[in-house]
Amino acid sequence: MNKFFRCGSLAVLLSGCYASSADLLKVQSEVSELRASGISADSARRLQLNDISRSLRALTDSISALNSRINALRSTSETEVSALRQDITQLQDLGGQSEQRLREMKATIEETARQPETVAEPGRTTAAPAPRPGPAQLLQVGREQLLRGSNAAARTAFADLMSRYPESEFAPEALFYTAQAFAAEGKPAAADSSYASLVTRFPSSRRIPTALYKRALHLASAGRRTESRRLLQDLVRRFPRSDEAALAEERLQSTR
Amino acid sequence: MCRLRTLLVTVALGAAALSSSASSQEDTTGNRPPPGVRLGLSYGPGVKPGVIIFPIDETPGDSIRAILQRDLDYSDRINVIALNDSSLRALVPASGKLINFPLVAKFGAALLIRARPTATGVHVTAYDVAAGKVFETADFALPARSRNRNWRFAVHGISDEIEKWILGKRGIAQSRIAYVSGGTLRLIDSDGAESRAVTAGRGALSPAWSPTGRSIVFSILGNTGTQIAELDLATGRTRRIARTPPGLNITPVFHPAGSSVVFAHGFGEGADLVLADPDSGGLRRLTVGRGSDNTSPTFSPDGRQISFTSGRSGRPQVYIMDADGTNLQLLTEYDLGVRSYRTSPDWSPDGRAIAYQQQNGDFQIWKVDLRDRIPRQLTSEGENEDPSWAPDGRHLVFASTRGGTKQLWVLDTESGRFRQLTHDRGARLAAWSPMLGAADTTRTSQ
Repeated sequence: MNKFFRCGSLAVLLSGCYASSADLLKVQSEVSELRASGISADSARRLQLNDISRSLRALTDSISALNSRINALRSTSETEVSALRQDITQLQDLGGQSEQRLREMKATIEETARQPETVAEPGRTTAAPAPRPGPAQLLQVGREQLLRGSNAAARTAFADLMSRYPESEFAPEALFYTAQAFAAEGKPAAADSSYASLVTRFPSSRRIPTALYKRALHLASAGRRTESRRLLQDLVRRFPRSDEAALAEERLQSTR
Repeated sequence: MCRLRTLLVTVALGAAALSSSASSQEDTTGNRPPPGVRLGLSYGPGVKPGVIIFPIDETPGDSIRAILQRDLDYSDRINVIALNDSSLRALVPASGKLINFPLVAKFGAALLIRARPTATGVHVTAYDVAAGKVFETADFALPARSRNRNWRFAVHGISDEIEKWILGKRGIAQSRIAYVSGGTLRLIDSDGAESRAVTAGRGALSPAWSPTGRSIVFSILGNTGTQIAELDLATGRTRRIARTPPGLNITPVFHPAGSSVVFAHGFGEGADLVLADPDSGGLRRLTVGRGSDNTSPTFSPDGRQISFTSGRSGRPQVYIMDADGTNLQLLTEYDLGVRSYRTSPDWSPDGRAIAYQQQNGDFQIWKVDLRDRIPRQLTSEGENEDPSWAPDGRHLVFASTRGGTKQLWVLDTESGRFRQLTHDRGARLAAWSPMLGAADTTRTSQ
């Protein structure tokens, strides 16, 4: 039995060795085919990857081009906004100048208008009573006095303007310069009172942001910090684009 | 002024009388003035009183006389009558004899100054020529070491006092000018003498005097940008202004009370004026430039307003605002269609005018009177920049290329007379000091 088993095993082994050498060639060719097809698949995949990579690069380039275009656009618009802002500032400055010139012209016209007329009567010549100076003229006189440092005389002119022409377009200016004259005289409380009056009586005057800021500074120096903060907050809320609002915001932050 | 008026009226009346009497004297006495000198008198508004300073015999008399003559001449308010020594000897004969006042008057002199060195300084006597008597006399102390910087400066004080005798207002000889040359801060006397460096390193810019004249604040280039520093002139020590932030810090200026300093600080884009607050130690912004450059502040004498350069409307222009940053106004009008710009304002000590430089092709000095706001051009030859007012509010110092190289020049804005102040190449950014002291005087009025 043992002998038979041994002979059988040998026969199987011998037959196996004989079969595998033929198959081996087959397997080898199959492996070669497989390798070739793998290589071709890799190549195709590489091509695909290259395509994708190219597409990505193109996309990135497009995005960066778009980005730089946006930046350029932004820069241009910023420059334009800045130029626009400068134009506005220049216009404001010119507006201020024109306003000043207009005031001077009005004062000149008023001066001409108030020249006394000579009335000829038989036997004598009498001058008609001199008309009173107009509001522009009074403002002009007051400002000149202020520039000279004659603060009390300036205040008299402004007071005259406000009492005679309370509805004049120059009344807010007269009140503003009254406050300035008081400040120049070293009377901060009186100046503050005039600024307060300006804020109450002429709420649409262009001097309001300045008046509010000056009032806030006065209150702060007098130790009334809560009221000062309230005024600064009011200024920022009502006139957010004014220079005074920017200064007020910084003061509010520093005293927080 | 009252005194001046009295003196001039007296001189005028005296001169009228003398002109007839002296001419008759000439004929009868033969008392003719030596040849080669001018004759004639003219008195009227704006006429500068004539002064003759008699030679001083003892050492250092010549130096004293030369300084006095130059100072009074540079004041542009006095006509210093220069005569040769023989003419002068004829005017003032030997000791014991009377001064020949009629002859002095014929030279156009309202005042004759005689000085005599003493143990402690100099004794000065001023004679009223028309009245023929002593007008003022005083003893002035001078430092013991002759002809050093302090000695010269003390003699300038005598000039200023003499000017006060004549015109009722002290002169400006006893002042100095700070300026920058080669990045070094330098000082020079008002007559152009005694130029010296007061900082060792380079990178100094834009000096400005303290109201007392004891220190100078300036910006200096350092590792963290430009810093604001203060130089104590007595000790020579420099200290940084507290808490100057890194970055751009330029064009500092003292508040007239001396309590704080305002300068331009760079805020990323643009620069704004900030106040270095001594109370909080921090900075407070004064201008809202919104990206524009706001520099070169100058205070009004009362400290209530600031004039400065701002580019807020595109090209730099000079503006005025209240010292708290409000009430902004354009100082000078735009010339529509003219692409000029204006910078470096300086407020006159009398508060009446602001001088600045205007670029329209080349830089020139202009001034605007604050009452009428009409700009007036003061220079036209060469490039002229960075004006700074003298304490009299009449003279200006500025950098100019009119002599070929950039130097400091002084202009009398009333007469239009120019004189060169410095002679070292590249002098610029001048700042005229306030009055730096009163002469040590023992005065005897007659």
